Amino acid sequence: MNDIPGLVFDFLLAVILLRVAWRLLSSSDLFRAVVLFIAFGLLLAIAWVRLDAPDVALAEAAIGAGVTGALLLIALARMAEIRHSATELAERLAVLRRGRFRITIRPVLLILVTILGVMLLSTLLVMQPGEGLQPAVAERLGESGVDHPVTAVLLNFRAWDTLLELSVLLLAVLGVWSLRRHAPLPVRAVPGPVMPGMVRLLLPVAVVIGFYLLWLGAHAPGGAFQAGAIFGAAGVLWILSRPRDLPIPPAAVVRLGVSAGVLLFFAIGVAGLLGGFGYLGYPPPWSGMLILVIEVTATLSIGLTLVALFLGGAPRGEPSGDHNGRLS
Amino acid sequence: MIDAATIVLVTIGLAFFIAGTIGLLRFPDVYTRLHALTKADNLGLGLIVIGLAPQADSIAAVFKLLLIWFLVLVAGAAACHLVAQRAWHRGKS
Amino acid sequence: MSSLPVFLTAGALLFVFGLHALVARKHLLIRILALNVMGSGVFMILLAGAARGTGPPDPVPHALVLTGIVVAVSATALALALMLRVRALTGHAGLPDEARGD
Repeated sequence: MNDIPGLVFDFLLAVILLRVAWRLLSSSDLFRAVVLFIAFGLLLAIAWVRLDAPDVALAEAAIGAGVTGALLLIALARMAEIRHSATELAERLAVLRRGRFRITIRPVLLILVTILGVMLLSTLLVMQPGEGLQPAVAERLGESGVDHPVTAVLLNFRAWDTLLELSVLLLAVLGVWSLRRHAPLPVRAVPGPVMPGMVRLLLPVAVVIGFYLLWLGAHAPGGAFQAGAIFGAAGVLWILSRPRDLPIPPAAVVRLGVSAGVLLFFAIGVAGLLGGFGYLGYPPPWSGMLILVIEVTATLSIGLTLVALFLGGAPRGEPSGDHNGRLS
Repeated sequence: MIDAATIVLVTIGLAFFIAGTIGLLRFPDVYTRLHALTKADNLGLGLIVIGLAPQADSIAAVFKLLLIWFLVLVAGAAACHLVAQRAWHRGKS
Repeated sequence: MSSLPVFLTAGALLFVFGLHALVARKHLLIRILALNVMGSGVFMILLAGAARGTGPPDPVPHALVLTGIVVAVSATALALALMLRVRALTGHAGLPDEARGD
């Protein structure tokens, strides 16, 4: 296939990606590293489009660049706020006013890493053209309950991986909650009409787009994770517009919300086992409906989990440690 | 014919993006940079959207493109305002 | 001539860049970013492998990478919370037995 402009574009994109990655990893300023990382995520999304992977591109832009960027920025803000008697003055200045660290070069590490890189490249570049599993998936697509191959793989053929993935997300939020820092968000309320006006406009649009992406996943790129990321982003935006008087639901509701996706998915899996279709097997006439039910619950759980990860702390009404880390 | 219009409009849109990026790199302070970036990027994106609209498969796709432009307009303007407000509170002249 | 070798090389280089930074840099936030960059390198290699046929791409690596992105954000969130905890307890965001100053 002689696609010279495409080849040039891909080459330039790869060079830019590597340059941005180099700059962010060698940066001595944390804020600059985070901003470069967000840009890196967006450039990666373009690379995924070039590799004919639109679902991954959507997820990378929403989750990899968007949600991860928000988590990194709120962590930076929290770092600047933590006061400790032993905090190095240079460290605090570095976060607040972008000071400089000294970076050491280690020759042995460089040599080892270069050898590893050469070995990786020599193995990868002999990769032969091949169809992989695409024909196998296309052959069974009709029985899967959806029309889009990636969704079929995610929620039917490899449903076990997706269930475990949702469990990992749940574990992450449980881990963050168990650290129990209950400090308020280091965010100041923004004066003026622009923030509330924008939120009032964007939040309903985000909800509609989220549900649209969820429904679209059955026959086009889209699905539960991208939609869940949009709901999470909408939640974060809403929180940032009113950081001081958040109407947080009681702890029981939040706990049920983040675990609902995993629990329902697992229940359907066990029901399939009891019904004779194997663990996580769906009865063929119902597979489309079951997948839709799983996806809707998973989307809501993912959105709530991402917001909970952003907020940190512990669910309201639970005992928490104080700022110096002693458990209550 | 339609392809020619697309190429022309997208190229002019790209020129606006380049102008905005040059503004980001060359202007002296936050406010002028925000001004260059937001205005040029919004206009550039609008031209790209109008250039791509004839290539779309259906009216629904055209509406989606316009919706994208509208959302970027809103988010860009709000972000520009918030950054400028924060810079002002921090005392940057 | 396809652009697959470009992406395979870029993926391998991203992995190696990330690995170097993971060991060489001391600040925990940079290490978290390095882990993410390594992950992105692996994703690029997987997706390049998915695109090596002539027809539609292989959907199974797409699903794997999608799963990988979600797992990466979960790990990043937990790692950031742990980093904040380390900083609150020791005063700087680095492993306790390593010397200060990146």
